[in-house]
Amino acid sequence: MNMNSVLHDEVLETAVPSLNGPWNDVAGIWEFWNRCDTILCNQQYFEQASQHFDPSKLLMLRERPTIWEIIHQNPDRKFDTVGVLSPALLSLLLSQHTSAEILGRYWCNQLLIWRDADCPSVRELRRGLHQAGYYEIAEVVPDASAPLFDYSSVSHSASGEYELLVRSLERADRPADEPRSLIASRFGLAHASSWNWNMPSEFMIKDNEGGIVSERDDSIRLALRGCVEPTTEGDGIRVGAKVEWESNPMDGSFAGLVAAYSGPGDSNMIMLTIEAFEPEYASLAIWECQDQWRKSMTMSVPFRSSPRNSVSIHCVEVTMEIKEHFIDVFLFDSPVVRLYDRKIRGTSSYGVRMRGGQFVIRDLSCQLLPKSESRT
Amino acid sequence: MKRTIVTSGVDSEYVLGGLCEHLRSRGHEVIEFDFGKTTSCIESMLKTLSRQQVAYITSAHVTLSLRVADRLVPDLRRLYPNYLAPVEIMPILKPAVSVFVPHDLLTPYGDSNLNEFLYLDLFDHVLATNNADQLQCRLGTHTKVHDAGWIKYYHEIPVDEPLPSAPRVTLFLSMIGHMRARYGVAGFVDYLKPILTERVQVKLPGWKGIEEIEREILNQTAASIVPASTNSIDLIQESDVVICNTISSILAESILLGKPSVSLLDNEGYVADVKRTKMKEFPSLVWHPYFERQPFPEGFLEEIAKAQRPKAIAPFDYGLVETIVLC
Repeated sequence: MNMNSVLHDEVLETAVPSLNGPWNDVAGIWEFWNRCDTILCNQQYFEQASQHFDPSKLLMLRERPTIWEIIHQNPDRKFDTVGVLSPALLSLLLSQHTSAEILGRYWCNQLLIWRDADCPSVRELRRGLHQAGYYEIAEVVPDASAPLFDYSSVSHSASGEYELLVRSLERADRPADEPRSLIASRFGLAHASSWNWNMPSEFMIKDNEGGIVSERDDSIRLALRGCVEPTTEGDGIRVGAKVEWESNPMDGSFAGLVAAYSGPGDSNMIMLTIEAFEPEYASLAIWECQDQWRKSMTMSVPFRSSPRNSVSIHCVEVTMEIKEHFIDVFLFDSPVVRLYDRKIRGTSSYGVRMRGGQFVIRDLSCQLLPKSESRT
Repeated sequence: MKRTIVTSGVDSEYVLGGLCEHLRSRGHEVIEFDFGKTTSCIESMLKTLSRQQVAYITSAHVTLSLRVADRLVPDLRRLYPNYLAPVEIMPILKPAVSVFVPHDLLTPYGDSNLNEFLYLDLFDHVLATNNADQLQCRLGTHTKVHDAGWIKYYHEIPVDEPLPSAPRVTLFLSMIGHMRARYGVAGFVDYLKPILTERVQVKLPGWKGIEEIEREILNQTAASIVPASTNSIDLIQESDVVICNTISSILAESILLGKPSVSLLDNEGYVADVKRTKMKEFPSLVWHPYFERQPFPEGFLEEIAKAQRPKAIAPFDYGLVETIVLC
């Protein structure tokens, strides 16, 4: 059994015995829902939602909530992201655009909305939310072969009329009643969102829990976030993630964390790779690509294992810090190597580079390090 | 921790230069993004700045991004390819405090084609030109609205008394894009020729590409040109009569500064009735019918110049801004 099927089975057979309501759609974009500060949920979904989300984030709404009732539960205005997993609330937001306006003005600056097939058309939903003061609305596409922020609309008129950006023309004629998830933001999304991926090569896929996996073939896949322009002189970048795999070794598979990417295409970056050849150890390597690939360091490192659904899952937690003249690598938060190098061209672009279907990368994170800040 | 002050706007809609000078003179670090002057993408710079404590002040239209402009003013993308609207800047910059300053006195919170009013509550502070209480009621409690005066009005110019026998007449050209597109540069100047006499000085806004119009005015007419970089409030204060080729913030400014003000009335840009409606808050405005491109009647400007009124707007309160950004 491979890793993907384990995760797939967990969602299909264990966590959600009867797949219904929003779960089909939510499962595809797990990462987004987990980033919500609060999830507003109807009673009918509450129990299942409790299994999937941090219960402290869930707020159960009664069948016909009023907007002030909801606002009252969060008296201090915060610039939160609120998930709406409630057809009743969605219908309230649609029937009175002032409700959506109040929610935006008194609570959150971003809504993640699951819209089921019974709700009014997406066009009507977009128009209502734009009318209520949500500047940009984008569809979260669960099918990872499409750009994430496709179908983004921005509005400037009081009537909520909008301009829709459609890149994936082949998907533009989907049935209007198809369930889908939308992010509605009072600010612009495209420039700021760390959720946005740039994919110089074919896109990798995500498993049901938001981990990043690659296809089980020989192609190398690269996905990036952040800006490729040089960072301020002397600043660094820290990229970290948890890398998981099953016991079966697969030749040629690797998981890579990428940092200081400047491109173009699949070139000019620093990569920390994990490979799993030995039964007790994983192989960790640093690669640098400045037009040509060069392996700068390789070492064997121990990993941790834990059972999951009768399968042993191995994992390492790795962090790579790239500074002006050296690279530090941390394993489970402990330093394992410092690699000195000539001047490294820093950018804030980071991401993953993978081959084969062996590895899952989770909790990918990035932090810019000002010149003065040092972890060691 | 001292906050770095970051500002944004574009060309004549960037009205924060004087404020920035003042803040610098008070020892603050100020970084200005006037997209009329920036030559590259500022996104990575904003990301770097986001690691500091930043106070963000803008006079730009809140939601007028290039994507929105593509529908309303397509030229914006060509002229200012790196432009970012406040709704795009703020999520990158993540300011500790944000301040909105209107750049237009006629429609300080956006015209009807931009639904900006709905987004003012994204700012922590709005510096209203007047009637702060009314705006406060509309924006809820998160945003603080202050009566701060008019940003372009920051010092008094002494007025000559009595008035000179030949009143100083300044024609501000505000409607340019439409006229240039419809008539061409030469045609635009020809359209205005009946009123471009030697007693009229013409001031254009500090936009890219207006030099061509200035040259054409000098070639075709007896009117003189005031450099586009001249502070318009200073120029209004130095004028005895202010004329504008359409309804605009300039007219609102000149009327509130007590200057006799004239607008040409024709169907260019907006139809005449819409122009009258948009200026209904300013009953002292004099309309000069220009449907047949009539020159001003004999003695018209001299008569109008006598109707000087007291000022009805306060100079901008720089000290208030300093208090806000330091809090």
